[in-house]
Amino acid sequence: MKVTINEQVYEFNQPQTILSACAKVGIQIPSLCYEKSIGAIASCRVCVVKVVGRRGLVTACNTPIADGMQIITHDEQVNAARKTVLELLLADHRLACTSCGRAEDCRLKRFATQYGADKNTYVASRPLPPVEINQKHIIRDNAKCIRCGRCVKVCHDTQAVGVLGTLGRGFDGQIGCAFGESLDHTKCISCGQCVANCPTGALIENSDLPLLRVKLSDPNVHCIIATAPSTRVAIGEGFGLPAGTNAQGKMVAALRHAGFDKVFDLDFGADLTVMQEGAELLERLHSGKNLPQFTSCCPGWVNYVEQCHPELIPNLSTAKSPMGMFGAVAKSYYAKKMGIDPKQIFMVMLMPCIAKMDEITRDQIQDVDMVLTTRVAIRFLKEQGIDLAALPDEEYDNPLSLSSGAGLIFGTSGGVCEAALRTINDQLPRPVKSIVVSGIANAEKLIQKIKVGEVDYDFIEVMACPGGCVNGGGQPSDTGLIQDNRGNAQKRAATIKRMDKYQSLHKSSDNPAIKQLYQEFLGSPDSALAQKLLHTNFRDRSKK
Amino acid sequence: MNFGNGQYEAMQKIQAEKIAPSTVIDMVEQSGLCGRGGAGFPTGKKWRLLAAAPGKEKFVICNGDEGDPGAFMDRAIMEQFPHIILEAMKIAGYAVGAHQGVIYVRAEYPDAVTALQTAIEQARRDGILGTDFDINIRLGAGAFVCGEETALMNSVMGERGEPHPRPPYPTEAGLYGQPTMINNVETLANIPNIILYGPENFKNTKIFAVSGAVQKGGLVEVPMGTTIKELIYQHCGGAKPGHTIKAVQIGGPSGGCIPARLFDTPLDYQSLKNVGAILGSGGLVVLDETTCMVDFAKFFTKFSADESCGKCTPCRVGTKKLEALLEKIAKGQGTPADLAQIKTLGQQIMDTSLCGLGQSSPNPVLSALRYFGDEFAAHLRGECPAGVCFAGYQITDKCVGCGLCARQCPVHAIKGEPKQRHHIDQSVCVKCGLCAHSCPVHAITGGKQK
Repeated sequence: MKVTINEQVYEFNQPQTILSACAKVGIQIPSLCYEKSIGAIASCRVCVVKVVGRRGLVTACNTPIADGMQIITHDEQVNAARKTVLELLLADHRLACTSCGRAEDCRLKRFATQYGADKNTYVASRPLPPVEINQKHIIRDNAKCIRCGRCVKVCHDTQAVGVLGTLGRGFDGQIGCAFGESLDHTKCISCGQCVANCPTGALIENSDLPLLRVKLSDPNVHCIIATAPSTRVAIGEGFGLPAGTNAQGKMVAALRHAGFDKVFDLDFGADLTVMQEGAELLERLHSGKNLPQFTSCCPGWVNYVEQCHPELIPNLSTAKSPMGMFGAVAKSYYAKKMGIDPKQIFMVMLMPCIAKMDEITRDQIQDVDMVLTTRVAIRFLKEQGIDLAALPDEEYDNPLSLSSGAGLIFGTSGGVCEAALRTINDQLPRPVKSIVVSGIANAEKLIQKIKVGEVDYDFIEVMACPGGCVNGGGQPSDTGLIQDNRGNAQKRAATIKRMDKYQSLHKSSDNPAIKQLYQEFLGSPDSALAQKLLHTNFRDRSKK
Repeated sequence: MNFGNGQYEAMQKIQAEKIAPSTVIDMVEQSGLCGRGGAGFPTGKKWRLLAAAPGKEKFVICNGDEGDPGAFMDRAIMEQFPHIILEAMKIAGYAVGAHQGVIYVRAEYPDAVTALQTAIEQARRDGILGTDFDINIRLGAGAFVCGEETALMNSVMGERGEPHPRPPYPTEAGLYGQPTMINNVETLANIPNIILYGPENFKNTKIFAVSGAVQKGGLVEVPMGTTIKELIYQHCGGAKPGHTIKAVQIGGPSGGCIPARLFDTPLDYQSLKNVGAILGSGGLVVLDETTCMVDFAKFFTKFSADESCGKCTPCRVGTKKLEALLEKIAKGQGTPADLAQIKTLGQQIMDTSLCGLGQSSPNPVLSALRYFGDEFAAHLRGECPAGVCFAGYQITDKCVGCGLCARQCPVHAIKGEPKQRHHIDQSVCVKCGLCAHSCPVHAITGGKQK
């Protein structure tokens, strides 16, 4: 179909929205409430354009192109309208850009600057609402909220948790939880998808950078950090590298520059999880008890099970997550080997995830002292004056870094399942029916199908975030003109799969470092020590 | 309008004469009936769209969420002639192939709800409903925006009453994702007559709810195209004794005001649009010289701001800022720049809002500004011609130029030569009233306070 955009005729073959058509021909239309996988909400009204023959202005995010359509994307009327909409959003906004954790990738700030929107054009109509800090590690600042509705939609539709909604009506309405309660009193699973999808600083993860600075500068503290599989393919985006760039070596170098005594690869922990979880699956397949076995390395999913499906707790794998195992091994095996008092070790985890912050408050995961999300790590490295992109590659420290491709693919949906089956494939007593699912709404659908007996599986991998950890709630958001977090995540996942292909080790059981750990320290996966250090338990939190 | 006697004669005619569904739609289309809810979409065309829509289940919704202040046409029909609505919905269902109807009534109309409920029970008892077509009632909880059809459907489904962008249109994916058609109460009330007496005999009348500064208010049914003058002076007895009508406000918070000099404007969709108002659902408020147009604009703008669902930015925040600007002007603290900002912002809210509520919410203020700009200008000088707003203090010609007030003024807003009449700079004045209190000759008056 032929479409005229700003007096130039373009030919499009695919049906699409004005927003996407314009982006394809290099015309930039700002949008705040639009994120590709969430879909059009059309609430912010920043993406308005003029369509000849249509009354008023129309939103580009949800209006499909049509043959013969004449579109004007930028003229005095359109630009002025966009500026006004931005000024209306700024009038009651807590304009704290210099101290806001989102300043670098805030879409409101970006477009307001682009259109010269002035906070003072309209007088504020209310005192700024207070900031909510909660135990779910998500800071909610409604004074920075633009009511785009993305968080509500992703929480409700994608995650089926639905704890966020609009309270009240009109100007006085606010995003919040039922009855104005804090997130603490809800079944929020801390997945952080709301944070990853917030276009402003209204939702952001809690972080304790002051404590990290203290620990890093204390010579008596042995600071170690382990980096989760999916962080190496995302952290570069914060430093201008294209989405999906493998920045593993640069990341190691940057973290070392930041003052960490040792930088380890959490893929090692993932390999360990594969060993324990695989052994557990074999045991369950033999005994026929507690099947299907659900993976439990995703803390968002574990939270969901404990809060909403306690009846599935026996089906969860009792193996700790890679993070939990790594922490336990670091403060026992590693400490002993290096002759360091475990109390002097400050164990930091670089994670794509906000729920991981929640996980370290669990009783059995006390060995981990701090979780840094990829997003916060980017901020921290910048604060330390480190340009990750410019650094030469460096290698991880030993002995807790050598890993297999099986550990690496934990970072993407399907990875845990594949890693486990790869490793125990030749020991399976019978063919195993397995399935992977990501996004809690999808998991919920699967649970319902299993309950009615429509489907039957032995091994089920669940990751709370759609696409897995590559799209985690703590990963940097896409800064593209049309925000597409899922698209970035797919690029990251593709890199992980490519890296796995070039790995010399594919099975966790082939990893010599893992073998050494079992030989020197743990014995076998079912030894008492392995069970004590590497397994956990869950509790029913459905009644609060 | 002939409301029939509840005997379902039009429906019987369809059955007796075996009138095909498509012929029913043809008849509605030929009558020229347009939606009475405000937008004026041709009813026959809407029915045809739904009839053509593919879908297993289709819905017919009657919109009885009459929310405009001063409008009560639908209420009267629902309370007094509920069967005509049931009959019309059944005919609509037959014509478009729907088997389920929903009447959405605001909970503030308990008598209408009772009347409709009783009527539905009677119709079910007599086998008119409950066989091939049935109707359920859903109550609205008082949100004005739920009169907007996409918000209405959300409300029926138990969701938040928020509109969603179109496309998809309700006739494509409406209630529960199925093709749906929403007709206003008054629109539907015309259907049986069109069927019974033929589209060529349809008189195309419209009911107006007249209120305000007239001798006889109430419901008046006149043919479309009657002028405002005829309606007010012939049917409603004109102004109250000793008063002069200066304007009418048509179409509720989405409509605009029309000054007396344009009272020859015919009451139809296009003519009213041309002068900056809308026919709307038919609420018509008559204003005389005791109404201040700034206050009037403030009232409707506040209404729109309060009733905004809050989904889209321009309506949620824009109307709030319009209200604040009008408040400032009403207090006598406005500037010419504020008036310019109202005009620009108002137009931008119309251009960029998501649904009809937001798009039309600046109509009252923009039309008032257009036709009664002098009243707004007077407020900038600290005067309210209608004596409604407390616009500020003025120094009258009783002033002897003693200068006491200027010395008392805490913000130095009063200037003047000795023994000459002094003046107050309204942009500086904080309306504290010390000057009026101190004046030895009572030369300083304040605008009337509400």
